[in-house]
Amino acid sequence: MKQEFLGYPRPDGQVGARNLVAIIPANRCSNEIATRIAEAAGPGVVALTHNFACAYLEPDRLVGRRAVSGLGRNPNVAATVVVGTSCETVKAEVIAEDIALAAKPLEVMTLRTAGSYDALVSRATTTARQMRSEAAQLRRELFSLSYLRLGLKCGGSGAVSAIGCNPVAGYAADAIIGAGGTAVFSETAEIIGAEHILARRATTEAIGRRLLTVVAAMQQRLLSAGVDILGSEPTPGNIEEGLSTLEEKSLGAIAKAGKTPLQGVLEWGATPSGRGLYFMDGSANTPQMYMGLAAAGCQVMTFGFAGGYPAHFQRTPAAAQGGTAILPVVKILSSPKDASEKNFFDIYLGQLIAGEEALADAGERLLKEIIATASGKPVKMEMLPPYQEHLEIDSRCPTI
Amino acid sequence: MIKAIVLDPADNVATVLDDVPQGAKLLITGEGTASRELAARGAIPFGHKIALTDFARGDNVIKYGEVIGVTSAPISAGDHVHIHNIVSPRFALEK
Repeated sequence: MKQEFLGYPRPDGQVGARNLVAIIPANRCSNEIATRIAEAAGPGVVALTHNFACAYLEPDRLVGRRAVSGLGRNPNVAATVVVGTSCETVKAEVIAEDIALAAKPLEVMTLRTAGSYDALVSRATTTARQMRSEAAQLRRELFSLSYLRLGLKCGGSGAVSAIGCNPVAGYAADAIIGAGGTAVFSETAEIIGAEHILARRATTEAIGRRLLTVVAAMQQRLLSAGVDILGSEPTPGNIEEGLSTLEEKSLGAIAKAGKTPLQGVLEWGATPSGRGLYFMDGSANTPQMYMGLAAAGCQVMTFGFAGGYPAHFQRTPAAAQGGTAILPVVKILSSPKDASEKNFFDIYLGQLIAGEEALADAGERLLKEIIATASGKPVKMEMLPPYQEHLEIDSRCPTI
Repeated sequence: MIKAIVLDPADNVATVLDDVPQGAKLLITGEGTASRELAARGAIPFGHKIALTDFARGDNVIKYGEVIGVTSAPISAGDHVHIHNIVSPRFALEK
């Protein structure tokens, strides 16, 4: 069956699952300004606050620039106002130039050009309202799943993730890739112990070598801390849910990447150059995952949980508004022991774990939910009152 | 009877699919694995692992057909297998 979704066509050929006006601070100094503008401009206008700051060294400046501008290029964003002070290391104008590549409505305003805080908030609010009005006149059209880029994450992992949320997400990823689409997974620390399996799936030897290199670098960073990583990997919650070692966690985690060939290894926040399955070298921490996957242009993300206390959240542990604001998150619950929490989730897999549902049937349910989400159905998290945490840069250098 | 699932025929541990009281008989089952019964030597929480064979200290623990850990103590078939008796092969600190 030919499957399609209803999305917003963008000038650069990408297709949006949402139609938001983004207020993007060039630097964390402008987070408060961005928040005031979004509040004043009303529904459909969101402040994508983050922790990118002047304190970052040159290599991380490039990473931050790519990720912050990537938020504006995400097809779920219809139009952007970049706000800054004008004394940032990476100027608001530079972030705006990068976003301009997507050819969508865009303005940049700084304290220097506006003259004062109040003038900046007032002018940007007027602009954002105008953008909101124009965005509201765009209409969804039918597109094939080849226009879909799915982000994949698991969290609150337990032993049942490997027989629940992860293979089910893998089924959906395989189906989207089979239809010509793209899926991106990440969390470098959490493929340690499973990297040899993924490297064998690489389409070229160079891609396989690149994967092994980034995983070895992460392993070295962990070992160089000189401490027992048990309690961080796996976490106390993972351990309570039955995972004994990082290797066991990783071997379960890679099931969410399905079975298709690995087409590339991306730097954190970078956009896939082609279609199919991509691995992004990055932190497993949720605010970095939301930011990295949104910057990569994903329109929908799945977030699979085992159960236990991480499942007892209306949103997700370590929630960031960015996760819901420009990247809708389809939450999946695996464990029948936590069925009481299933209303916090978009997909519940208790019957699969109990042996009463086939994996393919659960996978089809998730695929349908992803397509519905891409077509405008709000996920559970999008129906909750706003709650904001900053997105975070996946920095590698010491910060000053 | 509570089931314990074997994820790969090469595995020497299985994942229990319900909370297991001490002494309870389990049905060990999985694709490519002959089903059999095994008694739990201790209580095992939902999702945790049960040993399918006896292990000496330093043996590999296999799940998904891959090494997930090395035993830090002898283990008997039917024992709960977790952080008290296995460690990460890559990250365990020398003791």
